[in-house]
Amino acid sequence: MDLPSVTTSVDGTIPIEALLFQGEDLLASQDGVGLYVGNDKLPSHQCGTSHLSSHRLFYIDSPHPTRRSFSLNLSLVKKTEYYAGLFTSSPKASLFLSSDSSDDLSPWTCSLCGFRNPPGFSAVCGLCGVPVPTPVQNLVPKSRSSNACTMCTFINHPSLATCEMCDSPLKRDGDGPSTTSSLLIKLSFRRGGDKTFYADLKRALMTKAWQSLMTPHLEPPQASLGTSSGISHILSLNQSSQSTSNVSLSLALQDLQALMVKAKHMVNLADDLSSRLSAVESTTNNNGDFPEGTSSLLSDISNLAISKPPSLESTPITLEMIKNRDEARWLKELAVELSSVLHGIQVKKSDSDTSNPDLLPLDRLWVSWNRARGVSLIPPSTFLDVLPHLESITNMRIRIIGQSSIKVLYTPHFSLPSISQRISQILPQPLTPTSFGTSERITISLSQLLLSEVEMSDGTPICRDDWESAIHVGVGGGVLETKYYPNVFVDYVWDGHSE
Amino acid sequence: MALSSHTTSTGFLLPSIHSAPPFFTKQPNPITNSTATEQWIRLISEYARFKRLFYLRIDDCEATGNDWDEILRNERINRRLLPTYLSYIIETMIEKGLAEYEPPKQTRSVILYWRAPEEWAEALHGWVVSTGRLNTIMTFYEITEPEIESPLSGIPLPLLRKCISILAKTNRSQIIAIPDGEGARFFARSTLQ
Repeated sequence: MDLPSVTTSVDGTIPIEALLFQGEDLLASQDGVGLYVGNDKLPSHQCGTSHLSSHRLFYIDSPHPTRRSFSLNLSLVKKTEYYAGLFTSSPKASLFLSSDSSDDLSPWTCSLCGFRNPPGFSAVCGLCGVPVPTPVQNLVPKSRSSNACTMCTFINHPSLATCEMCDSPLKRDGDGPSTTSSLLIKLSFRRGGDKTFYADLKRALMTKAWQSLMTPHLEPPQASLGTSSGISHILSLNQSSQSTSNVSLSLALQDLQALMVKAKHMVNLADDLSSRLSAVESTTNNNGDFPEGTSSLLSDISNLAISKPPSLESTPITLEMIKNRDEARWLKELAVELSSVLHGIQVKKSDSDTSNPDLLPLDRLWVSWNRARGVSLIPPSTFLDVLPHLESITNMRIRIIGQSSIKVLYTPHFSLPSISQRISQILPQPLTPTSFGTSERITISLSQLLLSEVEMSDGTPICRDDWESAIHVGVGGGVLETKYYPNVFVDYVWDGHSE
Repeated sequence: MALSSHTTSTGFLLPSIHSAPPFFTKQPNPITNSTATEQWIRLISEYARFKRLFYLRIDDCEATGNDWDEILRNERINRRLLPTYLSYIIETMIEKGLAEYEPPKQTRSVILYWRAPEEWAEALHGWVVSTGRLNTIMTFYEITEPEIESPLSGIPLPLLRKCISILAKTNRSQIIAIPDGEGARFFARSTLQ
């Protein structure tokens, strides 16, 4: 028993999505599907995956995806039946196929532009609008019926019923009464999924997606009254797409203008918000009404984004202002300028600012500096080049904290030895990143980094206690964070049981 | 911070460091970590010797109600040893020859050598000599479960086999297959061979 000739073989190793045409949708997929032709099992097609698209039904064979996979146009399906299965018999969906080859729509390739058109009733190419070349359609059914003998492969004359060479009966397509049974294909669902698949199949057959014209979005409404093919069609398509893009462009420009009007308003609003925020913060800081996270977030917002930028006394220095465009000198001048920005930050610190100006993450300094300059912004690379010069004119130094990749600019107050010393003074009271961050006026993440830096240093005064080691997590309340204790292991002498 | 040692209900004296919360966390600083791990190994060995425990499993710190509860957990400070740290400690013990994976080819259970296998071998030979069982064939059961309790009572079979093979190197023992399993015969030091 063979597959009906109306099926088209496909290469099953290609993912199913790539086999679909433009405008064809994948509706359902089901593995563990076996095939029956008529009432007989098709032994070669017993383990595969069936995919249902809006136009076609695919069978992708699992053991031999290249040789045994095929697709079937849904337009050929006249009627379907559903069998729910009984005991060991799997549920099945029967498809009765029409033998009328005029319904058989096959994909075709446009002779002008080479676009592969999906099967359907569309009379013109979906890409260039050239009508279907008629001879191609007539040729398709003919070329498909090959009269090669299945036994000896001799190609016989189409009118013969038996092979001229070996007398074995020849396979005949479509019209013979003997083939009526082969026009029934059954899908047997060995691994379930039959109900949904069948429902999707019914829906696809009802929708008849292949009858609708393809690419409706390319079809301009006025094109229907004129000739819808040839160069004039291309021109009209072009014209309409141009006019739509003109419209969207002018709309976008209008939006932009409206935005620019609003921008000024937004800046004023931001300034207002910033001043209010700092006012609120200075009052709540004393009462401690705000949770810590909220207030630090607020201050970060106000500091980074919408606070008044530190101002620059002179105009920003650019490379063009330096004689002979001497880059080394320029970097030095920039360092001086940056130091004045730093000075500004350090003077401004006092009241609302929770961050410590003695320890600055580089990203933050870079943002502040560029805000102060306003024009001819400094790229990060130049910023990094300037920093070494800054070390020579201020007491600020740069280091990467511990094993993180965070670079900070710091005063001697935040050098590793002096941090260790301050930690030692707090001990034996256990430390947490939060408590240390509060006492040092730095963010919790920075505080965590500093603590682990101290922890990893030689002769460290601290050791950690992770909350993960708790038997009862969350007992006694409090935030779950690592605690730092005095280094109990230094000079420890065994004082337990000994033999 | 004042830490004090603590005596458990079974009479084992826990070291003061056992009541320090950081003791139960694997320390990232390599120097601190090596000191802490050393103290853990000492604690495990002392406790095993005290209670004659031969096996330690990763599971022992994951569930309660086993022989090791007293040292792998400290309810007074709400701390317990995590499996990841215990397996690190076990690895270190194996490096130092204080334990061995038993059964082999897995990493969740070890046999502990709170006495070196060589010491065990000498103790075994001493016991054989002192009880006058030289040149007699004995089953393993007779050695591990003698009627009169001996220093070797209850030692696990893998350790016993190891002891016998150590003695065999100096021609002082011989493993013999007997009908219901394995047995051994011991010889005096001066045996000719």
